[in-house]
Amino acid sequence: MKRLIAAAVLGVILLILYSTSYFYVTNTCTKTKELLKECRVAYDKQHDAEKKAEEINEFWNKKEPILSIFSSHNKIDDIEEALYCLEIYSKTDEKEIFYEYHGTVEILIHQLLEDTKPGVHSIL
Amino acid sequence: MQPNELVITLLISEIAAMPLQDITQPLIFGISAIFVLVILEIVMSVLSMKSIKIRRLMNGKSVVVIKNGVIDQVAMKSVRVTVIDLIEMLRGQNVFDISTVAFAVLEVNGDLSVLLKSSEQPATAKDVKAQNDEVFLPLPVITDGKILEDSLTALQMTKNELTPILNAHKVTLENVFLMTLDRKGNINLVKRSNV
Repeated sequence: MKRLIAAAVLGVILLILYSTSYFYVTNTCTKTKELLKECRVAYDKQHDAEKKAEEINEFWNKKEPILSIFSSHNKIDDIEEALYCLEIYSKTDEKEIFYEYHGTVEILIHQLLEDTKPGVHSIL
Repeated sequence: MQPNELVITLLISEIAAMPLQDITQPLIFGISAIFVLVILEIVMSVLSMKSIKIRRLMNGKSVVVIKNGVIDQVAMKSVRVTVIDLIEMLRGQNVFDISTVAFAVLEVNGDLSVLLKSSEQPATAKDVKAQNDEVFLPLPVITDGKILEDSLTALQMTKNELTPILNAHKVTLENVFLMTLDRKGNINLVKRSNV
């Protein structure tokens, strides 16, 4: 019975760890998506898109250390890289490239979210 | 160690090394996988204790490969052990003649347990009706000049009772490398060398 209690305690710790990681990644990705939308609107209106892009970068850099405990470092770095490019092109009039990076960040964040969601693939 | 325990041990060590080998892997992947394996191992061990069927499924069962000096060839086939392997294992048990074996059991951990025929078993003190003294377990009471309180408690002794013993051996506590004592009062004292 004592061993089963130990297993149950480990199970609870595992659940807490998993739910913490799930909510942390989900919240971070949702917030980043919101900021991305705002950035795109600002770019379309040609109103402070650069500031918005900076804000996203700052937000991502702040979250990155804890995110790297929960998610693949490669994916986080890819998003970081795409966000830097987005910031650079938010200062220019090269719309196509800006939209391309905007789309890239959205896809990468979507992938990160999908990887975090519990499913048969993650269990297997 | 049971086969499933060996597999779990190998898996855990492999998974624990993963985040160290590949720094792009997040820490939680390794931790959660190890936790799951430990939980499964605990649950399976409890279930195997409760149910004989699960125990057989998880651990297998021991097989008698020699009965009254005769090799059970069907059993040998079922456990996929060759005669050469069997003879080798018997030699490991100091048995060189199969006909002297009453029973040989291949255990689930791969060891071979051998019971010799009664005529081949070495005589015990009981067989020759020899008077034997009661055996007492010698406990280490001093190691490296330090008294082990637990051993003294087990022997129902106090520290003060050690002083006359040390005086009788003309040695101080600091100069004792090892001293063992049993309940009957048998002493074994090793002095510290000056190396």
